[in-house]
Amino acid sequence: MPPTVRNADVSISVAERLAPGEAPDQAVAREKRRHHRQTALRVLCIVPPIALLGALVVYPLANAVYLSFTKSSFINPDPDWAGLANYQAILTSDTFLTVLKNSLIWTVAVVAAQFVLGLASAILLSQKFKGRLVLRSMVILPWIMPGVIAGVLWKLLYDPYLGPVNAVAGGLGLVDGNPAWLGQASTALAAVIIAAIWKGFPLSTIMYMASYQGVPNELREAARSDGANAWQVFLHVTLPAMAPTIRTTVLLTTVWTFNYFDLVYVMTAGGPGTSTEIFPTYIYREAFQNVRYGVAGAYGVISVVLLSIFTVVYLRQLNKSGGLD
Amino acid sequence: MSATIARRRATRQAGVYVAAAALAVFVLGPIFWLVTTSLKPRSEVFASPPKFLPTELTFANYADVLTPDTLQFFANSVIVCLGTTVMCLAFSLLACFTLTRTGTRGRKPILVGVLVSQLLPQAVLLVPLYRAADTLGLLNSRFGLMVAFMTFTLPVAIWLLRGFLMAIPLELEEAARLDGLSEFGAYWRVIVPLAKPGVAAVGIYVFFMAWQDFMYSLVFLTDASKRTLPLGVLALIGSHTIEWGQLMAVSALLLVPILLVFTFAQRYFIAGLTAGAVKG
Repeated sequence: MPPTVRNADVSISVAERLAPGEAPDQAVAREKRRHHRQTALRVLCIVPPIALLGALVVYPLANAVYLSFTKSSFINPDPDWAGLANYQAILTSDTFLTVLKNSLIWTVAVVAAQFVLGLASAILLSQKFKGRLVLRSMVILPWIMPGVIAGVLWKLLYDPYLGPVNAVAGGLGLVDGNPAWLGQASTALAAVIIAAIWKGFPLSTIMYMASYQGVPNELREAARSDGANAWQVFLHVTLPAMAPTIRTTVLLTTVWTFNYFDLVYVMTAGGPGTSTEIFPTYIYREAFQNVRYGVAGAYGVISVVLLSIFTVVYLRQLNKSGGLD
Repeated sequence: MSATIARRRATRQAGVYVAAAALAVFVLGPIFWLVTTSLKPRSEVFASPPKFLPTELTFANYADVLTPDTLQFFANSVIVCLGTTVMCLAFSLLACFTLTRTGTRGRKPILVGVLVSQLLPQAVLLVPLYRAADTLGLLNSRFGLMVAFMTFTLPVAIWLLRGFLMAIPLELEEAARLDGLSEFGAYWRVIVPLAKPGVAAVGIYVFFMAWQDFMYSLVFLTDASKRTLPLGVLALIGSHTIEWGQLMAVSALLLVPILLVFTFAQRYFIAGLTAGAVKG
């Protein structure tokens, strides 16, 4: 984006034009008044949206931190001060380790697969073949579908008796009987991860497709005439040119995946046991089923701390590229 | 020599078609299942092993789910999402007047704040927002849900809109100012109308985000009459048997508005999407 300056500079040129019969100092005073009015208007415009964001984001965040130092229960839902008790209990509990481990596996697997699949499909859809325009417009469908639909749909696909997953896998001789992929702790997380990959990868496809087609063909031609093969061209020309898009997309999908609630909640609600419990679903369970706002708050604070690493990286990158000017 | 090249090209082309077919099956297979299940008679929905192609098509599932309740849920969803879109656009147009003036002090921290709030886990904000809404009597209210939706739509809308407005050449604003328009007048009468496609893209994207929501509706709406369609979907999952045919029919209904928006405004939609994610 070209640097643009939108500020009071324009009014100076207005001040240079005197009104008929006006002394220069009168004109300067007039301009000063105008300038003050202008500043006041700018402040006036930014206050309502920022106040709203304060009420909707800053206050809840601060309140969640406060709640994390309190205790409440189903019988006594009003929070009482409890100091660090929640954190002490959480950091020594097995459930926390499970939630942390699940969240890491879930995020890394989904993001990695979305990156690979997104890149591969972007390159594929940039080739010439019959029907590519149709496929291009269809590929976005899983991503625009509300998460609750994707959740119930994949629940049906995985249904042991009625779903096509077992029918296909059984037909190919890959499985015996009718395994309940979502019903057993050993496979539930992997099953949910596959659904999340399906739901989310089209965003990466769209991003990478735009970026891939933006790489100048002359660069590739030049590398080819220097004797590079297709793989070398991809690795040393195409990929570096796409690097900024890839960095941003991976960072954002990481944050979104880590925070994603709908799919897991609808498909398994964190179960069986705690085998698919990730931070958002576990926060929901503690807050709205166990009415332990303090524990939910502490889990929330921990997840914000974990996420802040990615947020800082993202902001730094954005600042470097001038996106904040 | 040319025969080898031709053969290599043919192999490559075949590879492209195989990969395209695999991608199509992976992406569209589940959606095919959604649509056909919604059109199967009950006996075939519950056939095991499942039938890949229905032997007869019926709209019975749609007839079953198109109850006054479902229509009410649908109306609730549309009202809440449209309301969110209007409020969100109003607030972000206001904010962007100030945030597009590069001379303003304190602009950068605000922008950072807007971005960070977009990346926060919504689950963390949920408990305090729920408790605050409870105190203010905004639970089970469509207006309350609209306000809650602004939590995740407003930061994105401000950010996107600012990008579209900054792309309008500065000379146009200067020209408007020299013609005697005030700073706000130039913004409102010249810059914003010129950025109309961008404003439309933001509006569509906000509607889309609101339509995607499930978590806030789940927490904020407990009264059956105030339910939105995603909760209607969830309510169909009984504790014993799930009426899959009906469930897929409701899901298809929930997809329709998004597909309409997508079909008729694909250009705006993709613009909002890519601007939102990458240009950052």
